[in-house]
Amino acid sequence: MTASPDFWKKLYTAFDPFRPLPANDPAWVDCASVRGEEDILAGLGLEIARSEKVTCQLYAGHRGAGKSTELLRLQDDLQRQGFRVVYFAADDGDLEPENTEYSDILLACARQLISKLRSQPGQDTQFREWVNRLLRDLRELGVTELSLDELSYETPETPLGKVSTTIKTNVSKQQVIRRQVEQQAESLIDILNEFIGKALGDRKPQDLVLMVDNLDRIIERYEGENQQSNYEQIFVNHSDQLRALNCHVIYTVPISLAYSVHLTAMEERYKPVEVLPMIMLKTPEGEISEAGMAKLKELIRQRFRFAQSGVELEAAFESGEALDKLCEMSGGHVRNLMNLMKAALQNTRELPISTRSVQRAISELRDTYRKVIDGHEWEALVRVSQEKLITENDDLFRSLLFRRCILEYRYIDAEGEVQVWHDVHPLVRGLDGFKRALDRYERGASSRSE
Amino acid sequence: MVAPGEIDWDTDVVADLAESYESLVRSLQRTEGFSLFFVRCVPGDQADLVQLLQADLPNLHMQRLELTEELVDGNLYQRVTTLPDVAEIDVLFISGLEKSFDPYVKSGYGGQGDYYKRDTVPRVLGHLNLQRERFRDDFPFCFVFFLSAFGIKYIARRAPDFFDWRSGIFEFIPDAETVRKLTQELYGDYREYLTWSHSQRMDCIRDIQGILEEDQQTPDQQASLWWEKGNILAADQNYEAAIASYDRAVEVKLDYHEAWYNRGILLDNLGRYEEAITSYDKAVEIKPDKHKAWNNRGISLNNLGRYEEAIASYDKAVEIKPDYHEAWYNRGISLDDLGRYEEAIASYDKAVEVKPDYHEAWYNRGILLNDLGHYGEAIASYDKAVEIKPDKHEAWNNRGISLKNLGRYEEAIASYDKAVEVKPDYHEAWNNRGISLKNLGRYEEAIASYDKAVEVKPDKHEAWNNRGSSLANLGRYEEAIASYEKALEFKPDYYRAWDNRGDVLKDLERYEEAIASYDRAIEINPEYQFPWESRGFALMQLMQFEAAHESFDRAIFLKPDDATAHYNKACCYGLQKNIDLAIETLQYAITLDSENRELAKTDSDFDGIRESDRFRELIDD
Repeated sequence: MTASPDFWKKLYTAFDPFRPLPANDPAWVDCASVRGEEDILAGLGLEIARSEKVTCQLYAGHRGAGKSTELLRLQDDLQRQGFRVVYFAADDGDLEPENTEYSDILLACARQLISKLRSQPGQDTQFREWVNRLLRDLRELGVTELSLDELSYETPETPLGKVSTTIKTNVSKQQVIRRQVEQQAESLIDILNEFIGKALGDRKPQDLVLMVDNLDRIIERYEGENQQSNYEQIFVNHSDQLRALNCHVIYTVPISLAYSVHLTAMEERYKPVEVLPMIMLKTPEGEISEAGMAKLKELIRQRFRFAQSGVELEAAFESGEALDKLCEMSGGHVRNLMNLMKAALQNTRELPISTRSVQRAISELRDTYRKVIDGHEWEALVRVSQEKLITENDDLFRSLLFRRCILEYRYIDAEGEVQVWHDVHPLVRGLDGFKRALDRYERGASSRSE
Repeated sequence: MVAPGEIDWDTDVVADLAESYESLVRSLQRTEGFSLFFVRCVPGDQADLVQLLQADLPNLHMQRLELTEELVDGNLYQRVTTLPDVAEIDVLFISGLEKSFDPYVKSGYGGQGDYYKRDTVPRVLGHLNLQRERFRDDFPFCFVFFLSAFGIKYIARRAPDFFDWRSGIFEFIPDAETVRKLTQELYGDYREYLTWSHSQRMDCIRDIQGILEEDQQTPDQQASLWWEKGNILAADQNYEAAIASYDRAVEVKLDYHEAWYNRGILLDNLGRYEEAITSYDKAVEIKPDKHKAWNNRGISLNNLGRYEEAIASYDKAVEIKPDYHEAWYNRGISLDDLGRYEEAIASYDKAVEVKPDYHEAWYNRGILLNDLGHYGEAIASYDKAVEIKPDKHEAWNNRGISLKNLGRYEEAIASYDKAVEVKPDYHEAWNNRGISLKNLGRYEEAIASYDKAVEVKPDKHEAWNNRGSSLANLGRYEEAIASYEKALEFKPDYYRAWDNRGDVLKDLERYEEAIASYDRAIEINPEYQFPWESRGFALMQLMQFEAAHESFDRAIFLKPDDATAHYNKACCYGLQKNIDLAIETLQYAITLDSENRELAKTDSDFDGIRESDRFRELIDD
């Protein structure tokens, strides 16, 4: 069968790794049962619906696990329940890429809330005054490059974004600006809360939900050994400010922050971090989970359908084993599954996808894991692969979680309790460094037992 | 086809170049709208690849964006929007992104284990990570990033979200022979690196980095590349990073003594002497006749004050290479530091024997000879130094000192003249010149020379003090006092200046003021004898005999054979008309210095007792 170019374009596009599914998309597959019953509607959603007061929640998960897709679902669900939802994905217009601080986030929230809720002119006068005051103070401090004739909420240029790019090279001035913005941020919170009150009219602040997506996009930085990461500086040190908005707020954070000792030490501040785990393909004992595998195949099948390819999933692969392995090697990570499928399609001239094409796709993706793991990390990975749990909560493990070299799984045990466990990414098992370290570990273990 | 269950899925399959190329072609063909591809290949192959793709995919509009320098704002999105015909593009090839990583070159840059330098993010990557939605939404075409192995690795680590959106990675890995050729093209010369600009050096480092991580790279070539990188970084004075690079070189090739040696030099430059020594130890362990390592090891030991060990290390160096003049010279310095001057001189002798124009050695040799009192030889040594290097002003100055020590003031002055001719702001020489002029009684000229010294260095208190003395010698007392006071302004505890000031006041018969000035000198240094004696004299003039005696007694205690102090004390008794003690004391003063008998004959202080027989007896005797 020789397929048309159009057929291939559609099929190929169906596996793009960069489009979160919109709410109610037919390609969406409910995976809660294989994610330890993690359901954003039941978790974050119920908390908001039931709470008498405004809440502030953190939503964590591996990069590419499907957080944005889930948040879009939650937005839709909450809107159906009558909530007013402002969702936005922070980008480089909002966040200073090298050195994000909490004030960036606050300003981004301000821009989004005002542009989406402003119903009458004049409601944002105070915010405009705040910006003008800031610019005036900065001018007095010698930062003269800046002026703001008209404040436009439509462009992503926040005053701060503009500021930091203008004078990127001038480090001393950048600090001046940082300090100034920091000082005035406190007063911004009050202004925003007043604005929310006005904009909502006779509705209550508890009816408004702000979702700040993409905050896990900030690149994790550590200034030095045993120092807090920039994430901790933002979410721990400035929790008071981030929690001060008078509406429900959800911030996305990287999974590594969910394991921050500094953050868990302040559970009374945030609700427990809601984590979106991987789709579980194996039990901790290493048995294949048919349910999990079925979900992944369903994900692929839906996309075949969505592309109107007319191809049945089973017929698309040369062997059932190749399909199974392709699923298995994703580790239950949706974007990795897309990566593998996309690569397998690239390597294929005509369907069905050959076993070698799948092998090549797996090798290619495995190589990306090789690129991000350093020599001293193998032992830690071997330990996780053996103990199936992160036993030491330190920077190394958090960083490996962040890089998806360690994945998090959840399931409901016989007592109905949620069990959390960890494993190395299945692709890591094929890396030479891991194989050698595993060999050393096993030799060490056997000599100890003698 | 392989039977099920026979495949080891944990083992990689390797795609050949043709397979990779075909996959890339298919990807570009099948893509509609936005997508990201990362292509790893060596820079030389990029143009060919583009040409080939264009030939195979004639319907796609392809463009190249070659970034030749750092994106200053780190904003690639912005750069792409300004491309001509951006609306026409189907495929955009981008190369040179690594150039924007350069400003983030830090110690260990690119070293395994240091990639994930977690304290910085190259701005361009920070942007990409946050910009990916904007790329997707605004650019409906294929991005193909050409990168080195290193570049891909860096993006995977520092822009993980952008990297995560890729639709494919294609690797065109060069074969061993190509890698060997590309590697050898990068071997260079340190002296040449020194002439390069910073950006030339960075360009070369980037090339090295690119080829270092090639799959077909050999450990030996890798070590050589790390070594080159270290040399370039050293030329760039980025010592920390250079050391990290040498570390990698010796990690790959343990017996790389050149790397151990260079590593030692840089550690020493950074003041990390212990580590430098350990590194030199390694070098000489591998190559025991590496005389330069022994010599530099000696320098680091000397820097730590471990002079004996330093000398032993230099001994090794000259044992291997007896004409190694630098080692003989350095050995001289360590011996000098230990106070073994004669041996130090012998070591310098060796250095100049091998290298007769070694002016530093002649100069150091001169200093030691002078300190040992061999002024004539010292002068001969300085003569050599200035003969070789006529503008060596320190040598001219020290030569002057040695001449002065021989009382050859005229010649000393001529030597200082040379020193200040070379270096007009050489205040030490101006001051020394003043001293020699004063010794010749040429006070006006001395004063002019001191004036020069304080003009160059207004707080040079010694010159102010010396200037005061010369003014006093000319009887210009008020000016002298003012000059001493200048000295005291800069150095309030300068007891000699207090004493000198007291003397001028005493000569002006302003005894109270003189006493106050002596008091300051004594307060600062009670062991300094002169003010005690002068103070006694001043007190005597004020008829405060008891206090005067106390002061003389102190002077005599500090210097028992001071005839003047005894004589003045006798005068004091004379004024008190205490015949017994006056005569007894005068007698002792005369014993110490018979001149005092003549003085006493006419001294009015003894008028009150002059008529006594015993006085007459003593005087007429």
